[in-house]
Amino acid sequence: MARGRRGASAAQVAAAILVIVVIAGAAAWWALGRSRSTATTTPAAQSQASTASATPTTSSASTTSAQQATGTNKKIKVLVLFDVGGKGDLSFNDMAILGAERASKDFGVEVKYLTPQSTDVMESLLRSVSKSGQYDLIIGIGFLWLDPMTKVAPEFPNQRYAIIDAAPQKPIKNLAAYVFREQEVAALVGILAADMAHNLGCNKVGAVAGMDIPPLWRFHIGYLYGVKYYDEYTHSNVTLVWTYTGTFTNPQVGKQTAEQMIKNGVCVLYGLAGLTHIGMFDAVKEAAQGGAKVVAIGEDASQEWYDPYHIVLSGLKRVDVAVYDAIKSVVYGNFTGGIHVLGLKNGGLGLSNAEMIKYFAELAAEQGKLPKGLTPDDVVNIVMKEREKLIDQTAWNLVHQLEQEIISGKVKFKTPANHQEYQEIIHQLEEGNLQAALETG
Amino acid sequence: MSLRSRIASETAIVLATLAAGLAVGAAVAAGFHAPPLRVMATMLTSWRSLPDVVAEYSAMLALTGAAFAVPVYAGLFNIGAEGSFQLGALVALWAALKWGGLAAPIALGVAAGALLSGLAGWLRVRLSVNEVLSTIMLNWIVYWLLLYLVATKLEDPYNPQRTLEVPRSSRLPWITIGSTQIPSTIVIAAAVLAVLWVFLRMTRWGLALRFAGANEWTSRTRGVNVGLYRVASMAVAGLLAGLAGAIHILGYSHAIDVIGGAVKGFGYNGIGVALMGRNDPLAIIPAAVLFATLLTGSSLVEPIYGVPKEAGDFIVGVIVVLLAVPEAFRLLSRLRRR
Repeated sequence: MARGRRGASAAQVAAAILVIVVIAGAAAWWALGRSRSTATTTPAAQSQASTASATPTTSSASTTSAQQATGTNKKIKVLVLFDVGGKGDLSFNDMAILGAERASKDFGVEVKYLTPQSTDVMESLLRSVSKSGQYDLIIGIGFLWLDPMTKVAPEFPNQRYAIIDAAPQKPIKNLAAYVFREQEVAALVGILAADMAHNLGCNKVGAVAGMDIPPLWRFHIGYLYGVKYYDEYTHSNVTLVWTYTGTFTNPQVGKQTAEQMIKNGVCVLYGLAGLTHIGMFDAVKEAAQGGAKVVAIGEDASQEWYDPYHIVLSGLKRVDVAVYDAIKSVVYGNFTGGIHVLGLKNGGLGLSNAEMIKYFAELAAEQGKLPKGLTPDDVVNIVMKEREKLIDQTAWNLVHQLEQEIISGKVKFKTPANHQEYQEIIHQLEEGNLQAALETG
Repeated sequence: MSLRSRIASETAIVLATLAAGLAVGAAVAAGFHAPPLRVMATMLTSWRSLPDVVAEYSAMLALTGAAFAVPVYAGLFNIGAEGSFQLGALVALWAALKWGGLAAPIALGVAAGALLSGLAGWLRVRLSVNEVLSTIMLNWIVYWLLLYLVATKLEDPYNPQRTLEVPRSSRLPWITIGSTQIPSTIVIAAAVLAVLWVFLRMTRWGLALRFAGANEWTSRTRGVNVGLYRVASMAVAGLLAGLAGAIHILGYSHAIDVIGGAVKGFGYNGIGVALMGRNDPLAIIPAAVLFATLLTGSSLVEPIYGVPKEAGDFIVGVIVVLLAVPEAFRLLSRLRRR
């Protein structure tokens, strides 16, 4: 026994673990089998799979109304696939839940959620849930699902898919891609930012942006358009400082960038960088506590709760509306693949209002993230008071005016196809040529 | 204690801890008003829905587990499998995009992992830099380098959320068993671990390595170059983790996303696998399979039973920690003696 006791014992241990795994697996198999034969009231995934695959979906073609779909036929089932962040990100994923729950209440559909373990398994996971055939609609939240969706969707032509905030190169028949015309909300924010800067006694508004990619180009164009729009009516000479941080996930960088901007005289900062701009919020808070007159603006979700005294506004990218619309289309049987653009007109974009501020403040409170001593109602009251102090009625009037122009189609933003086009539009806007940002005609 | 009774007690410990872990898991599931037995059953049979994911995770965790285990024989604690894994993946991806084929990407990925980890070993031996600290720092350096390159040099202009994909010529084949397909990385991992076991148990160098870790002073006086063996053990660890990263890219994920999710966590989870497998290359294999199965299962229970993924991950954590405790104690007491 030259190899010693350790060798023998370790091999034995290996065998022991193997045996246990096998026993556990067998037990599990048995338990699953049992549950399958007994479960009739709560349809387990496995028991559904076989019946559902025969008739893949509650056929929307034959369903003429929502009542029929929910009343006589089988309950419609929707699966929401979260971004890797999952529930509780107080942004994208939580808004998706908001939309799905509202749809569930309105249409009586059954909503299930799934958070992937990591990005590399998304494709396998999507293929597996598609194969099960038990969902009438599978919704992927965020651009990370784009690749898996483009690969898997064509393999299951009878399965309906939706993806939020991303679109494939070529449209896919059974994949509905919901994207946003970010220029519209950014333009409204631009007007209010310029007015706040004016009232704070400075002439620079800024943005801490993420990566130099198409959605951010659209934000930039809209924001600058709004500032210039305000200028045209008030001649206040507010200028825009736009900074790409190159990251969506680094609050430290966001904070440093914001500090630098504040030092250079920027007094209104718009956060367009996901997690990175949380650092911008911190920088604004510290500067304000040090006596500087600065405020911040959030984006995507209603982020006022984070610091209601200094975050007075958020631009909303209504993931909830996109999710709701996607589910609704399946319920009403008018699901179509291809690209669906959301904007101010169909409620996919907007400015944060009391209802949304409160909703996200409540979510934050549930997670214990609300600033100490504040209730969700406090947050709403504080923000509304700050808004009254900082924003004039004329600015709101301009916002409503532009909003009407956008909704009526009088103002329609151009979407730059490449970087050069984007820079050309920005250059023209800087010169005061507002028409450059719009579709001609 | 006789050998027999040692085996018996070890088996009893594994059985008891596993039972305790499963019981805690069932209790957690019950806390979410989900049927406890069925939740645990779903988690333990996740390979039924996602065979390829379980196979791939098993392969990766077995290799990174071994990357923790090998330096332990030489008395070192290698936390750097994460960094070696990611560097191996990054270099393999780069090489595959540049030259295609399999030889260059795998060789360079493995070499990069070995060099990185070997550096930490060299720092320990030459300059007495604690290898736990240096490997953690190297992990972060690699991580930020990876994120930078993924979003810049390697980015796919048409899919800015990820890098360019590994060309067809550089992809490892998949194995078809009946109607299921699994990546061939699992075969590579099993073969490598078998070779490693033979090396550690049946060769002179393996003996010397274990000797160097067990008693540094005695080894030195008997002519074993302890320093050399320590650096070598770290290099081998890096080699294993680098290989894992390389074949993960070439055989499974084919690209890295901008948040690095495709290559995150394997190294750190490998530590748990090594402890569960009592630091033995063969016992690490079932430990890795168990960990991979549970990890995959934790996201499956969410849509079926409404148990949040966080709760699933918690259950995985409890089971792994309980199974790892005995070996962790053993290692910690060794560390204190050091």
